[in-house]
Amino acid sequence: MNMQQFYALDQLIEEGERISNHFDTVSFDLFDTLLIRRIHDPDMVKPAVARYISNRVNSRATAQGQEKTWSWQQVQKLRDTFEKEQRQETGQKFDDFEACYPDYMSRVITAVFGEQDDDRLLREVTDYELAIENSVLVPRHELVDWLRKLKKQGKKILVVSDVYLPAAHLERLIEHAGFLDQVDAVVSSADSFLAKASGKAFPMLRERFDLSYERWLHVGDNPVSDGGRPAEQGIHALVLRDGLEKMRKSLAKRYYNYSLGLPFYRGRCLQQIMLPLEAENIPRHPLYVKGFNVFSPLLSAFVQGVAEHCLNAGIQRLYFFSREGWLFEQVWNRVIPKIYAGMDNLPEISYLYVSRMALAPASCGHAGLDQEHADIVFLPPGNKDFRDVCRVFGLEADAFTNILSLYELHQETVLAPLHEGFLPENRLRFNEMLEDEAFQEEVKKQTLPAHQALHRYLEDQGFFAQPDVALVDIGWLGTIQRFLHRAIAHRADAPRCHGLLFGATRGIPYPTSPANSITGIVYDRDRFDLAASTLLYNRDLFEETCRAPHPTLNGYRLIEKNSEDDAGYELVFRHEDDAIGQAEKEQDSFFAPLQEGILAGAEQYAAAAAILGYSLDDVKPWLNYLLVSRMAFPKTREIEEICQRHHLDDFHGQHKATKAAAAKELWRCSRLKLRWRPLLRTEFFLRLIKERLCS
Amino acid sequence: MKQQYVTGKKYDLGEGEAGRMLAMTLRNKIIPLGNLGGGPRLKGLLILLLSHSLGRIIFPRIIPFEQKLHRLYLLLKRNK
Repeated sequence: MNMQQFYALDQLIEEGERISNHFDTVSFDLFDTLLIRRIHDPDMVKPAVARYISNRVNSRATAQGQEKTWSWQQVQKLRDTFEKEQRQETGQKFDDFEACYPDYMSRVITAVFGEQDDDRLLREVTDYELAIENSVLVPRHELVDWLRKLKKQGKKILVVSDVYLPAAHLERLIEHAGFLDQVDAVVSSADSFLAKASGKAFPMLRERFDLSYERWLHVGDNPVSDGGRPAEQGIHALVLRDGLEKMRKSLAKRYYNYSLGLPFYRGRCLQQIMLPLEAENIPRHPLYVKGFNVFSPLLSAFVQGVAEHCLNAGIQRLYFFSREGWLFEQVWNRVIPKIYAGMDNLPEISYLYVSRMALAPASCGHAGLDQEHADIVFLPPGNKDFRDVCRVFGLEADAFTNILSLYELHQETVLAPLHEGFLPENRLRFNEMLEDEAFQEEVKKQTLPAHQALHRYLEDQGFFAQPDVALVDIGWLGTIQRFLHRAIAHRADAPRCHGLLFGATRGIPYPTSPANSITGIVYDRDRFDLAASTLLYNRDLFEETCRAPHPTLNGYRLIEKNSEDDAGYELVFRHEDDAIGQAEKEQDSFFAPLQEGILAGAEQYAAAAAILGYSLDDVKPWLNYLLVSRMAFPKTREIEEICQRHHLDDFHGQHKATKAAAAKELWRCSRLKLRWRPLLRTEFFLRLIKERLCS
Repeated sequence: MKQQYVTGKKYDLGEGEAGRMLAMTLRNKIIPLGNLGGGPRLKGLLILLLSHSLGRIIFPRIIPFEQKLHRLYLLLKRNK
């Protein structure tokens, strides 16, 4: 028999190149030969398609006021039944028990949706199935390179596959893989029901393309279909039984099997499917690798959790807060349409330009400045006196000189307990001054333009058009949402604000009400979660990781409306030409590869989560592992590689606190300590346990 | 900074994630690390560690005997 088996790809290509002169036609098997799958079992894409159909039919039912009718398991069962029936039917007329996707899928669609728009629905379902297939298929670049060489030599190139997808669908997969122009014809057993498995495909191909068996080389991975059968006809066959490919699939299968019984492995299994293969896996910047392997699953799962929350609560509008929301929005665009494909009730999203510095003045335009909000100024140790209050709330300090003197205060009176010269009675007098009507009138007068400009901006963004809005931010205290809600709470059309944060640390109690609440998706101090709380080790790292490469918003400026088209407001951004702006730019470019890795990983996360059907709860144990292992027990090299260079916050003042002992942080320890104190990480972790238990 | 691969040579996340998982599992036996969904079972983790680290040597060598090994595997499974 003219059949040779190879256990490594390079050996097969070497032999193929040596003998290729004897042949003028080369046929290739497609799956597991030219294209490999990230998943170990090709049937794993089917539940994703069943979920898509189920989402479509249930969304339609909900829109018509009916109850949900089809679960994805029912759709899957129906597909299996119809496919099996067709295979049995084909088996009675042909040697092979083949099936044709459009035939049985159109039966599924008719059964599920009824007799309506069958062709359009079949086209859309097929598009989704092929998109999912494309997301898990990777061209084997060495083999494709050889195929290109053969084509250049003038050989006829055929791609032959035993599969339920017809040739037209396979062409789309090959086109996505980038070598359709190198192929003369694509042949599928789904079109003729003559397969390689029985050997009937080969005479059919000889007749159709007028081929000679002696001048025909076939390459595939199955010893029977791609080896024995063509060899029986006199075709020279090269069979690849790749040990490393076997290893990769065996690992993927093991992770998948473990994930069925052990929740810990679900996220790990998902990440195994996410991994780039073949030519995708090229040397990258270490931060790109961190972004892909660590931050991408964390942020993608967070965004998935946000979508789950919105779907459960029926929230139809979602705003991503600047500047961290810039990355969240991009992750959302990559992840959510794939995971929730076929759902009509996903919220509409947009990016909202906000910041604490911009919202603080706007929040006082109607309600004035109360003690609760003034106290927030003195949380960061860098803020010291009334000048810091004025800086944060955009007030002109000189205008308050008379009122301050009435309460025996002046602009430089120390009001923060962490600073030298602090007297509690001064703070009491300051609080009394906040009750003064004249003080409040002056505050409102000064902040009213910013307040009005904010309202114009929010109206422009359609903020008041829905009863509920989701507000997505990185964390931590919910100050931005607190200011925002205070600025709009007096309006009758103010929506209920559902804050969804990556981590809710709740350093100060949040004024939760039905109209205004925050929830931590990955970490919330209101739920005891020791592992997730390790993100407290370095919150600035998460902020810098997600931060948009544009300057922060300094305020909302009211401008005169000269015509109907005028917005009547202007967004004022921070200048980038000073030292702080330059440092911020440097930080942005330093983390650019990290963000690139996160976005590349998010694409793969979406495909893997759609296939496995995992929710945030499924992957949470793995996210916790990632947080503990990377934040609490990082390697010294990792800290050196990823620790941010600059972290800037205009809200924090420039004063240096004298009484506060600098908090000890693992991520700020010296290299010497990190490398040579073996119990250093354990010490910090025990400290974290103590803090969590006491809080 | 030295460039790295997202998929390590051993088909692991970067380099040595399986080893890191083992270290974390052992650490979790001494101090509680939080909710890790029950964690990875030690036996399974050791098999994974072995597969990742020795797979490149083992799999290419056993693949010629794949069918025989598969028959043996089925026999053992039946007799279990």
